Amino acid sequence: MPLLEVSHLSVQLQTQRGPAFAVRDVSFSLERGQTLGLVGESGCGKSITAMSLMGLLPENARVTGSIRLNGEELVGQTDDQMGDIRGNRIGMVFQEPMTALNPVHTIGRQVAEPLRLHRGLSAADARQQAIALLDRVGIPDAARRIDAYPHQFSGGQRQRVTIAMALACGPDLLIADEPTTALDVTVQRQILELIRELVAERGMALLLISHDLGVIAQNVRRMLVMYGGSVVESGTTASVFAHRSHPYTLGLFGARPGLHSAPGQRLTTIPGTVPELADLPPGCPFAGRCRFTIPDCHVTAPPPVEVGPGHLVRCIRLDAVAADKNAQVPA
Amino acid sequence: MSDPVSGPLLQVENLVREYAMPREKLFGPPPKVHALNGVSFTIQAGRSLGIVGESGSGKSTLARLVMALDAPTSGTVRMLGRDLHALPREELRAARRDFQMVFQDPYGSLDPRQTVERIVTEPLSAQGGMSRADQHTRAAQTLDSVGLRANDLGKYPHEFSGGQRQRIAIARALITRPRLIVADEPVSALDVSVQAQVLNLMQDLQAEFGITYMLISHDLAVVHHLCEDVAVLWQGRIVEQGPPQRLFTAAEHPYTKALLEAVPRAEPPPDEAVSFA
Repeated sequence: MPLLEVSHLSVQLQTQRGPAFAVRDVSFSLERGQTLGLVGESGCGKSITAMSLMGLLPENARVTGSIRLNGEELVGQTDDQMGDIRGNRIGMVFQEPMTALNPVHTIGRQVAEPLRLHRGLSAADARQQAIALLDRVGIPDAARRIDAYPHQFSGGQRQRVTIAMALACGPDLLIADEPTTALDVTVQRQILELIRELVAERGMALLLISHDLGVIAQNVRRMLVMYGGSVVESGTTASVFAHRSHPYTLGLFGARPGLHSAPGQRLTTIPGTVPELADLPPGCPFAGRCRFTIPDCHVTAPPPVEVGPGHLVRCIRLDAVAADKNAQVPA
Repeated sequence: MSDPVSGPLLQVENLVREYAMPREKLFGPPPKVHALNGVSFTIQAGRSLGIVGESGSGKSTLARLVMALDAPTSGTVRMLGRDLHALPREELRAARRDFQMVFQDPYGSLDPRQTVERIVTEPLSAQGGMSRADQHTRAAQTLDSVGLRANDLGKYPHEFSGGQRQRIAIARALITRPRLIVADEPVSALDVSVQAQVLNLMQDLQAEFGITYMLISHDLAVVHHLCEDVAVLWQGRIVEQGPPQRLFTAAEHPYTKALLEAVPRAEPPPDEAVSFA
């Protein structure tokens, strides 16, 4: 039995402009010790997917499908029941450590809180554990700094503190939503290394959400590419990078300037902008922005096509895309 | 309008900016922090300069000084040979047509209560001496060159996406036909696919209008894409400078090396025995 099994997950949000399908028919599973990346642009549904795992969706959200953690169904659980799971069996690290931390409480109190709440530790024991955790995530002189407030730490150190909070109860699953986007690139590297080490050391599963293909490439074994609430391509990171096939994935890779591209070279762009979820067409969410669009693309959501072992692509125009790709390879 | 000058477009010499910190002792002098600690560089027309460095390295302070939005503690900023910080107010205002700025956040840098026309023509109004009708024509032309339409002039910023807003901000910078545009993280608030559109636009404007950029970014790839030279700023000093091809392949300063090494490479390690759940 996989640790986490998400099948046919859909999330509908009520917006001012009518119902919006923020997540459409997403399925994946994750074993202990495995790492999975979710990549996509803002509004693609990657954060809503994470929020639904945590039971943190807005009140008006309607969730269908199933999320099983160790076989236990999470969809339909009450707030109280999810409160037992959140911070206990699922830990989460957010993008902005300053907003994730409470500025008026010491970091010691915040790291100890899940231990007191879920493990019922005494204040003194929880404090000892919090020191050990802060020490493990690399806060220098943790025993002394435990009574400091978040503003007394740098951005990278604050993110270390939130990682200590997420780890406090020894979760089975760690969800990291853009954990390094707000940090400098040299600090980003240290934080990602820390997360990688901890995942290996504790045998947790990692769900890493990022818009940065470089971060995904370096940190997860499998990946899902999301667009308009759907998973358009999925597979091992190596396979998706080497044999990327969905027109959106190709566009995303082409749009990124590289350090070794020729100077003055133009970037390939994806015309238009990410559609509003309330306006998503039926059929393929990328239809219309995609230059391979044919009328059929607008009709039904494309089924997954296997293009390699475990490498799935939801596109009905793969032949045309492949022909085009071959034509562009210089002779 | 401004005469073609044979000298450098921008010449920054020994720029120092200190900020006073909150006093620690009641009667002691307040401690000082050196945001910039003797920065010198030259930008020749047509050779855009990228400034890279991490937060706190002094990038944004440098931008504010070059834009004459803040005065240096010492040192000079010469734009087309004139010392900006020594110019009388009126002359500085007139000189501003030659250098404009694009900010990071296209949501925060456009006044939500003003129409696109008001926003884009604002630098012209500040310069004075141009009729409303001429301003309108110029605004329409400028919007066209950034890929927006003339009938967008009557709209308000909230009607546009992030990428389109950044085009409006670029149009505002472009409207005085400046020689230099200082762009502070112009694409880092945008999605990857939209980033590419804006970067391509900035590249087109280089060729079309002879714009030179001073591009401030933490993203080495973005700098590599638009700039002929890169300066690495670290703790208020330029520690290394040169063309990106050389800097990125043969960096000498340890900080530059650390910066390059930290950039995640978009190449995953190869698959070993792959198991699928």
